[in-house]
Amino acid sequence: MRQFVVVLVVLILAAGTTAEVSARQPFFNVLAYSAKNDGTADASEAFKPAIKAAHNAGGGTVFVPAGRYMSGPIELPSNITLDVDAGATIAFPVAPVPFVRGRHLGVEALVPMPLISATDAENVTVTGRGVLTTGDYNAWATAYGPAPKIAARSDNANGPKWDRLLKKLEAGETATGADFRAAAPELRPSFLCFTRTRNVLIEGVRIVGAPTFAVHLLYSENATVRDVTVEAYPGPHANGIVVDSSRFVRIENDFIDTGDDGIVIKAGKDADGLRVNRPSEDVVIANCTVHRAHGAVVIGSETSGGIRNLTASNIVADGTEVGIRIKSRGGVAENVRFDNWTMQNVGKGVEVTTYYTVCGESATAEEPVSRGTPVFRNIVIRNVSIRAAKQVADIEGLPEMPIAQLRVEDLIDSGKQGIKAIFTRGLELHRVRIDPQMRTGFDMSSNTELVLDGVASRGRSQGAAKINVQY
Amino acid sequence: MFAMCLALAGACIGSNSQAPVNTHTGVYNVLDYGAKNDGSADTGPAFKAAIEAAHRAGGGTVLVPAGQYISGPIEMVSNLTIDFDAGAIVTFPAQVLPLTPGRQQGIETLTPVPLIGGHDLENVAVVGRGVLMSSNDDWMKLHGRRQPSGNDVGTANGDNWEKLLADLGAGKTIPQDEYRAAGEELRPSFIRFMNSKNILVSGLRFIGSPMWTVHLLYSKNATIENLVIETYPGVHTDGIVIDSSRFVRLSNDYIDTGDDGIVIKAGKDADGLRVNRPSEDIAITNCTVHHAHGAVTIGSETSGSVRNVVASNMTVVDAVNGARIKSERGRGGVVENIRFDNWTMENIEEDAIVVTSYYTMEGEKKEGKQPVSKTTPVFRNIAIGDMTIDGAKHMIAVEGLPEMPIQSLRISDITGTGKEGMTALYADGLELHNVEMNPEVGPAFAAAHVRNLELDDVAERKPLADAPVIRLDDAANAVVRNSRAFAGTGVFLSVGKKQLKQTTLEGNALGAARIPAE
Repeated sequence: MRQFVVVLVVLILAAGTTAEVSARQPFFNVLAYSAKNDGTADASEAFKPAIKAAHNAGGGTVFVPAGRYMSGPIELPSNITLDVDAGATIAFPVAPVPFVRGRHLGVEALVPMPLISATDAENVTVTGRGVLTTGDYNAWATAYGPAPKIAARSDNANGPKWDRLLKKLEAGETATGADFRAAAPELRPSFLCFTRTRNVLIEGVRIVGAPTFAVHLLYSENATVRDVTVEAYPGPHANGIVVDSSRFVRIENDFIDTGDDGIVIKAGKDADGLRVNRPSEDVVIANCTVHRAHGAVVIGSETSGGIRNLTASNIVADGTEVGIRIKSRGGVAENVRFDNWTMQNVGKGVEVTTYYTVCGESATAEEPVSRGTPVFRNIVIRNVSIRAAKQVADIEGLPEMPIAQLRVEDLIDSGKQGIKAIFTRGLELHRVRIDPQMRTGFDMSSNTELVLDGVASRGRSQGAAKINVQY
Repeated sequence: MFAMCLALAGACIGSNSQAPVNTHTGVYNVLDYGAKNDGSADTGPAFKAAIEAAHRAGGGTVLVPAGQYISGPIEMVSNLTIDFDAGAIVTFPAQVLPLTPGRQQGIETLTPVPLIGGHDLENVAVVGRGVLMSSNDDWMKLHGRRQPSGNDVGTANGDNWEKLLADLGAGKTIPQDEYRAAGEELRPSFIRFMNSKNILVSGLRFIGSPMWTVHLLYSKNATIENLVIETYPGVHTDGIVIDSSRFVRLSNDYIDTGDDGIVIKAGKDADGLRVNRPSEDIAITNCTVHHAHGAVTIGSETSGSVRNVVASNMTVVDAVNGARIKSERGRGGVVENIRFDNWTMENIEEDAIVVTSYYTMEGEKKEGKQPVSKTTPVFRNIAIGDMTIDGAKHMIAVEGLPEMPIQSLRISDITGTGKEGMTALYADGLELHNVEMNPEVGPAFAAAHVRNLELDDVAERKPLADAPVIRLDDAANAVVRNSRAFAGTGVFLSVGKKQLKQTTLEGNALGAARIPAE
């Protein structure tokens, strides 16, 4: 008996030391903080103390081993690496989350708290080969009660109170706290969102499903997003990686398969975006493969704070609605280079438009130039091969503000229709070969200072001009 | 009595401290599963036990800490990361392996199990800064072959494999025994993932390989990055092989090998046409390649088609070929929508840039025009640009089939020095823009049986007295424009008899040539 007691005591001591040992190590294993990895209980309360312990130790790695975890929103302070290991799945159930200040579709507002976030932090990492998953946009519609009724032909796809807030902001009226609080439950959270955070690394994780943006960098600086898989197809509004008024961002080796834009650069929308006036700039994107998204790499449409200094090279797109897309509702987009792409089975290979209308809006005649007039200039799109597009390229400026200095160089493309360009100044096409199945290869109208250098069309259509230029 | 109790307690803790502690951390250290890290015993069973423990827990990380290990094949499971830590050196001796369905050199067959890998997996990663070793020589000896290393030695397998290929080619039904006999002659891929998705291979150093080093077969969504592959001059030790797979990203790899560095394949001949699965949506960047038959190769197994590929920011040194796209009669398939951009190449033994659908092995003869069928390979819409070639036996070689010329090949912004310049045979829509070739012999640009040739801003800065800058034979509808002759040029443009009027010259500055065109 006495022997048994001694053994028991030693065993208890041994068991007792486990947590202590892990707490002293740089690794903070969430299982040591009583997380359940069989999906039976909310693990949030285990993630929090693990993160806190790491934080108290001056930072460290919070390790999430294999298993299924249910969790509410996870907030990361500075100097924390969240390592979601192979075999670990963190599932975020569709449920009400607290509201925080943020930006939703380019408008500062009260928004549902992102599912994983860091705010005003630095040196924050989410890594590992695990899976982060949640419901899609439609599932999240019911998070705060019955889904809000969305008016037909509405462009915001959220609800009437959000619509009312947007209209108020657009009219220059002061929106009250009550307006923002009323609109908030109509919104869905971003999945991973880093706000005013410096030195961010997101790598290796697989994101399955997203309420809206899968990875959202907001007002942040110096971030790398690499080796990430985003599988959110056909989720509406599930943009893969969103650079939102952020700087010094590197995006590489990512696979994105989604129902909205793949990689997208934004800088605020309309009146609120112009008020905030923060650009997205200094962004490099390389070696990504994009499947099915609306646009593989997109600038806009929320460009109000300006977008500049961006390169996107060595990108492959397959089955996207658009390959390269630059669209705007106001603000400047400049110094942008797209280089060495192949794409196939796309709707439009290239779309550059300041005349972007969403469904329900109709294009209008010339308007006076104002702060809200979008400006595109110094954009280079080169070394692009497009196979089996519905339309190779669609370039459309505004009558009052043509797209300026767009250089399109070394394209080898095939599709149903060729290139269409309207309202441009200084558009240059060098070594562009288009093989359209029907109609005209180059359909150019209302362009000034147009250069067509070494262009060719081997279209099969009988009777149509190879090149049609109208002034 | 008390001491005994303590001993007992220690034993209890000792026995418990293996599985439970590891389950608790989610990291499975192979040393806790009986692995010897002094190279004294086969670690295979310990790897297996650690992987099984992780698998039971729904996945995890198997850690291989520093030390010397000897191992047989390691079979992966889903949701698994194997982390070969810095200082870990794992040697895989040559041995007879179990056979499993797979594909070898473009033919579905029974194959030896890979040294690391598996099939029908997801979320798998092989990572770390450790070293994985296997001797190509030992594997060749195991199979009774002593082929000269570093040369293309055909299949380098045995008679049963040759018989299988012949029978497949003849459309025969193959009995399982024949596959088995052929499979026993084959060497395994070092890493192979088949029918798998979300794959990462990162950071490792490979020294030697039985066959292909990293092989992605029928897989989707993979990243292969930061590898060092040192397998030169091993036979058939292609570095990274993308085989009928989609959405693949390669970056920051160093490859020094006796066969192709990075290669994209899609099945071979009748069997490849039957399987008919393409390789597509592939991005390759920022790799350095040493030796290698081709730094980046597409083919020659193109039967299932290869599409939508970009390869940029590459450096190549001492390779047999640089950018190589090849197929041959019988292969079939389409190679299209390909872009190679921003490369430098130095000291290339054969062709710096080669695009040929008329690839022949040593000793094979070329024949005349053949009927077009589904076994005829088609190449179209290929762009190769922004390259510097410093030394090559042959800078640019283009050759289509008489019955199926290469269609729409654009070569731009190239400067090159080497023995021979560009030669092109059987192409339609071949364009050169801003290309400078400075060969030691022959014309800088020679083309024959080429339709719709465009030579735009081409130059030979150091012209040869005894050779024209451009030589065209049977080149209907050729355009030479925006080009200049440099001092010392004898004949700038030389064309076949009565063909000068088929050639358009515009915007050229040929005053320095003794004879501008003849």
